[in-house]
Amino acid sequence: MSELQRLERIRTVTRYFAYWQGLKVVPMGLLCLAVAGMSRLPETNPTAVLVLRLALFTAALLATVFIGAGYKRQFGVVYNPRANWRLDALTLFVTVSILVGLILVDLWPTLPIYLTALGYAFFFVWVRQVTGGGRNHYLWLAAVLLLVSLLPLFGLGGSVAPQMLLVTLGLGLVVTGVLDHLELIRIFRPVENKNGASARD
Amino acid sequence: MALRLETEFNKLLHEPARLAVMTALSACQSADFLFLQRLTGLTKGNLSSHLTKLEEAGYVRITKQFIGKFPNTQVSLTEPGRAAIEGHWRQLDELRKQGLRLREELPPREF
Repeated sequence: MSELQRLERIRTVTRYFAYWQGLKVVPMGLLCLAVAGMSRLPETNPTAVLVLRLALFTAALLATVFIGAGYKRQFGVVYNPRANWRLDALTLFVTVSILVGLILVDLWPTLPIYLTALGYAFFFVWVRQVTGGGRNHYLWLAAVLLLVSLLPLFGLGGSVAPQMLLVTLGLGLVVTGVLDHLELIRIFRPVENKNGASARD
Repeated sequence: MALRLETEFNKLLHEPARLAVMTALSACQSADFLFLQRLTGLTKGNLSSHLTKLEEAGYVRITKQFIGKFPNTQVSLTEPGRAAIEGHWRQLDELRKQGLRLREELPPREF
């Protein structure tokens, strides 16, 4: 990476700092995988399963907050202009809308393609574009989600497609989260200590 | 054939660490000291010294405050600072274009 490219990257990472803190989405990815795994088990006690899911969701949320605090301690804080708050609000709105869409589409199992997976594919491409581009792993995730959306065409609709969506989202969030974090680490330089040598943390 | 790059840079901004700091600050409202330290990899003393130079030039505003019990230093660009870094980036772009033009004008090398 040339110095000019590095400076461009610094500008992008600073502007969209929150979107590069990849480890924050890893707990949600693990939650998706856990929920996908749990739905394969025989449901002997539906109430217990519901309580377990809520507990896992709360744990994932707390882990996200905890990791966010860790990022603040390790990398500091950037205060962004109002435009970024609008982007964050829009991202949240789109995410919630898609989740609601997931429930509605699940109620309508005769569609030829799995629209929710398609929605997520577009969502990840959109996030990549509005946060400065460059992170090609989002395109790979979108491509896999596109394939998942086509599963009903091969007779794999019903409960298989939502299962596959959860597994893909789970793995996708974990992998893209780790890759975003590594990208962030690459941009930041090891802090020098007083006698001129340098250490990572 | 006399070929040369015709760009004079603002020496205060062209130093790599200060350029990284100014570039980062141009992309946000403000950033704290730790963020800028991680970005540049400088010691606290070195970063402070660079920030003082930028503050003396009127390019940045440094605000010291307490968040709870902890001291916090926030740095933001002033209007002249924003104009200076944007002008510097325009110069860098111009230099890059000049470099590309030079490469096209030079005869191909034989090895």
